[in-house]
Amino acid sequence: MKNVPKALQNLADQYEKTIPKIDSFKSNTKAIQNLIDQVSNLEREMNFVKQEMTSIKNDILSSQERNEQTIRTQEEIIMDMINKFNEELLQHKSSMKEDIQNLKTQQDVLKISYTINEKTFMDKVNSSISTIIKKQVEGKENEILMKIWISEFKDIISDFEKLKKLKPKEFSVRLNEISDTIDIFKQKIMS
Amino acid sequence: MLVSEINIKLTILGQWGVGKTSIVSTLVGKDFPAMYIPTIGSNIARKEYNLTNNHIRLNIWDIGGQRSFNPLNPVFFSNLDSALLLFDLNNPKETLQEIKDTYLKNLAKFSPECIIYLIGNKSDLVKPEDSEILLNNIRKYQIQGFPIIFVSAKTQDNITELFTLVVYDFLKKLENSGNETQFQGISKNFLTSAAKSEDQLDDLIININEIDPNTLHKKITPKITKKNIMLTKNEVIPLKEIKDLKKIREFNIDKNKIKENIFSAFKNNLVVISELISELKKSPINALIDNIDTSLNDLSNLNKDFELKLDSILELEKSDKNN
Ligand SMILES: Nc1nc2c(ncn2[C@@H]2O[C@H](COP(=O)(O)OP(=O)(O)OP(=O)(O)O)[C@@H](O)[C@H]2O)c(=O)[nH]1
Ligand SMILES: [Mg+2]
Repeated sequence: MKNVPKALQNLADQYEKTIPKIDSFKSNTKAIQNLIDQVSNLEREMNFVKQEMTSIKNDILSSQERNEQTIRTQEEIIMDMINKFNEELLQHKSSMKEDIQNLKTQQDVLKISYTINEKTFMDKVNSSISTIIKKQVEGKENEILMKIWISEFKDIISDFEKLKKLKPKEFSVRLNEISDTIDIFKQKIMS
Repeated sequence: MLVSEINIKLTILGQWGVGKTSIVSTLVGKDFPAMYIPTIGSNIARKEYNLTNNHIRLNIWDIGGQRSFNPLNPVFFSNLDSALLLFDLNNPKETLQEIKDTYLKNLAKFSPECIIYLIGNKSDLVKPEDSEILLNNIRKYQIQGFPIIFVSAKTQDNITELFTLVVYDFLKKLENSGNETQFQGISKNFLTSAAKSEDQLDDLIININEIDPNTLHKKITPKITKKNIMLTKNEVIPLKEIKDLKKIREFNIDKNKIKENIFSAFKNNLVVISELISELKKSPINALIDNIDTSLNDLSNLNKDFELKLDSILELEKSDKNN
């Protein structure tokens, strides 16, 4: 192949040289196709995700709405209750006022009648107390006198113990007092 | 010359029912009690003897012998000058045993200096034929060293004589113990004013170891009946020990009588206190402190006694309600 024109030769050479390039191109094209496939796959997945996200977003939105609704209704209920309570309280207060007013007037009336009747009332109380005492005491006068004397006598004895520490002058004064007390009792108990 | 005051504290002790109260009552001129009313606590009686230069006051404490009223309370045994230990000649065994077991021991403990007499009461109930048994019974107890005298509250036999002896013995002791000359001759003076001789008083005492049972009865039969006393023949009222005042109904004793009795004893003791105080007011300053101490002792005893009496009335009232 010596007579092959140089240009042709060149061309052949070039061609020779190009073949691997074409091969590599061919393989590249494959790779690109792969890539394209992958991208479209990715796109599809992306779309799915997008869709999912919108649906989640929607979901969230709707549940938020629902929650807000519940809170609103609960607030309303509570407000209702508070209002009712206030109303009742008001009613109650006013009725209490009435009651208190009633009581006050009653008290005033009582006060007036009490001051008017105080003396007669006290007289009645006194007389009934004394009848009760009389009934209680009846037939027991002696025991009561005895009881009083015993407690009186205890005092006398303790006075007596103190006598020893006194000066003769005070001494006879106290002794006279003691003897007077005893004499009073003697008279009471003998009568 | 100043009249000096002499106070003698005499206590009468013995089992319930031996006749302590009867003896004191007849001594101070009251009637012999018609029936038995137990003494609750103590009753004080006073017997006075006036001599030219002396005024003698015998303070007689009659102590209830029923055990439920606490006759062994030490307060009844303190500061005594003399003591009569009474037994019942009609029931010598039991009543002497009581003296031996309790009263003598307490006296020795709380008033070791006091003059003690052993007194057999109810001599009117002793039959001649029982004399020997009686004397043997008394001997058996061997309570020795104390004069024994038989008396009867009912016939009043030997009653005034007994108390004359008590005062006489005390005055003799006073004469002999003091170095003060003011009491010289006082016992003789007393005998003269009481119109008694020393022999007569000696005669009261029964020598239990030597006496002939046949002569005993002559000795204890009253020579003269001193008061108009209806002497029913040797009747013996059965007496019972009272353990609980609330059950007084079982004893056939009139509850109201007991109540009356307690109250009158209460009043009586109050009067004694009032007298004690007015006597104290009269006593000379130097003797006052001593007198106050002894009076205080008596006063606190009496206060406990007042309480006992009130409590007893309240107990009786409870028995009222239960009936
Ligand atoms: N026959 C007779 N009976 C007597 C005599 N002395 C007392 N009595 C009776 O014995 C009973 C008791 O007499 P009281 O003097 O009350 O006895 P008391 O020793 O004081 O008794 P208490 O106070 O309980 O310790 C009464 O029924 C008296 O009548 C007496 O000398 N002869
Ligand atoms: Mg008595």
